[in-house]
Amino acid sequence: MALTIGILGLTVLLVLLALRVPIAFSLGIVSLGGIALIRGPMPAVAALETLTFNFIAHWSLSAVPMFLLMGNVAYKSGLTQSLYRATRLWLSSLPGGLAIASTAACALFAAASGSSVATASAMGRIAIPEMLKYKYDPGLATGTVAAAGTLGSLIPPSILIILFAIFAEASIGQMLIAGILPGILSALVFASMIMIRCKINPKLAPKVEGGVTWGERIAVLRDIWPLPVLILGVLGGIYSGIFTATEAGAGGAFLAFVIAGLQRRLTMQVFKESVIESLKATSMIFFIALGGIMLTRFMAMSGVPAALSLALGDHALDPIVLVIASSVIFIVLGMFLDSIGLMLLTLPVLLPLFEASGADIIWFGVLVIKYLEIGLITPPVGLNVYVIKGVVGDKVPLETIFKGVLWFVLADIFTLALLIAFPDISLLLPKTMLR
Amino acid sequence: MLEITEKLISWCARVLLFVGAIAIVLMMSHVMLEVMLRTLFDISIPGTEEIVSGYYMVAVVFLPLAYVQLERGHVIIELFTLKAGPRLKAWIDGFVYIICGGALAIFTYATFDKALKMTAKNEMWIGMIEVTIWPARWALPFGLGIMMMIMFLQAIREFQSAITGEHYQEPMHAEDSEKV
Repeated sequence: MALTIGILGLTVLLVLLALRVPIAFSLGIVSLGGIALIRGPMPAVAALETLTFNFIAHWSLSAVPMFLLMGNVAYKSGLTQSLYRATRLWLSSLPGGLAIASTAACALFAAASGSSVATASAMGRIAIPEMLKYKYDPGLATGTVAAAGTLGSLIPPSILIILFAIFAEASIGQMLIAGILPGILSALVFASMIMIRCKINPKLAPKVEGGVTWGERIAVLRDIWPLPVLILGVLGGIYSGIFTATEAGAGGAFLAFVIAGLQRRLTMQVFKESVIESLKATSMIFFIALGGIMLTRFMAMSGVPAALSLALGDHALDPIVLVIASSVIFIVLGMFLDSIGLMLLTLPVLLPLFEASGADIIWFGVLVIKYLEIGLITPPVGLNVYVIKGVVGDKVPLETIFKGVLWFVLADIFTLALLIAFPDISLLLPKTMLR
Repeated sequence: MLEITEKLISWCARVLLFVGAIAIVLMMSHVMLEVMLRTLFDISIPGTEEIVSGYYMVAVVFLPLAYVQLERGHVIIELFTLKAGPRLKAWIDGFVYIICGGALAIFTYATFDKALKMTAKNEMWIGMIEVTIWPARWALPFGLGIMMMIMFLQAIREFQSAITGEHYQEPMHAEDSEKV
């Protein structure tokens, strides 16, 4: 009986989502209704009473608003402005140099920002017009930034990783550090793919100005010093244990304010906008997370995860089977749902299965984030593609961007295969962390 | 009448957002102070964890909710209704807001009830020191209650434009994406 309600609930959930019910409400309403049907209306209201405050009033969650604040301050005060100029001076002589420079700039920006969408929209504005100016293939130009923007979710800080860690009850610090190598690997695979394609078909990426001197290359580093300082401050602090991953958010935000202040870029406007943007994002994200918490409770009561693992039989204990099965679920649902919603919708079902299999939850977390990144660029709901479309306006049609992105999806699938085959890529750094 | 109510409610949403803004800045400063004192002098501020999680975190999450709804910032999936005309969309959204408003009414009631109980109990958390927590509980019914009213008001406007076919330009969110 409870099982039927559980499965019915998931179906109703998808219907509500399709009918423009906000994600947070879809999750919440279905869970509330489901719990009421299984246990009665009063226990449902009681779950609402106790779960919500206790979930939000939680020390480790404060990393999310703080990292959002850090990213907003860094971006709005212009700390990330000269990034593209710098990576370009260093990398533009390679085949497809501007596209590679864009990838590198996105990876660096991702280290100051916790969000894929923010990374894509910020770098898109700077990098795409430049590439189009030099007659780069529009699909390549837009696809590069849409795809490299997704690095924001893997390279720490990452809001998605923090949320995963909270839901999986894993260490936030270890999860964040675990994202570093897979993030760099993804960027390298993107860059190699661009280089090979441009080598085979030089028309994709005409040569840019030659004769960049080493003097210029060194000089530009002087403009981008704040970013490495910020990155090293945050990551070094977590890695060495000076602050916890939770405190690192506040440390990073503070450091961003100090740097912006030193550069005399911290105007009242920058301050106000950064604070309000961060607030709005925090509130929106956690409202969805509250829905996710309710769904977790509803799923546990309905017994859907247990039934699923029974149906899978002995295979349910094989991590590889689980990983491949979940990759199918994520990539199919990722076509329709945004990443936070998708993660919070699937984890209540998948996490219990995965925990039972005994595999490393950090490894699973990195894979989930990678699936979500791919979901960000696959049609029809590739959020990052729409972000890029918003940046370029009428200059490049949507189909061209999706076509350009296709190559990057293939590159990502290759990266994903590596991550599945070699769990150590994800686990090496967290294992060596000082505790 | 409707317009005055809208103005009043959106003003409330802005006030709540402003309090949230203070909380996020305090959160950063408080944690930073704790880290610095601990690293430099090996001193810990008593109650930091309790205040950050019990007060700042709660304020930062629940107080801006209403403002986010004012700007219709809560994420929806538009994929399946891309082809629907503006009037059909208005009908759907009107009903959706009524349902969401109803859910929020239950949510507001539940958190209000809890806040009352905890106030009566003089709820405290005991860490290194005792921290009074019950006042933070009131952020929930306030944030959720104002959000509920905004949803009902937006539902009325959606039905208006569904019936008349005219798109209603909301005074409450048209002017002020930056102004707070």
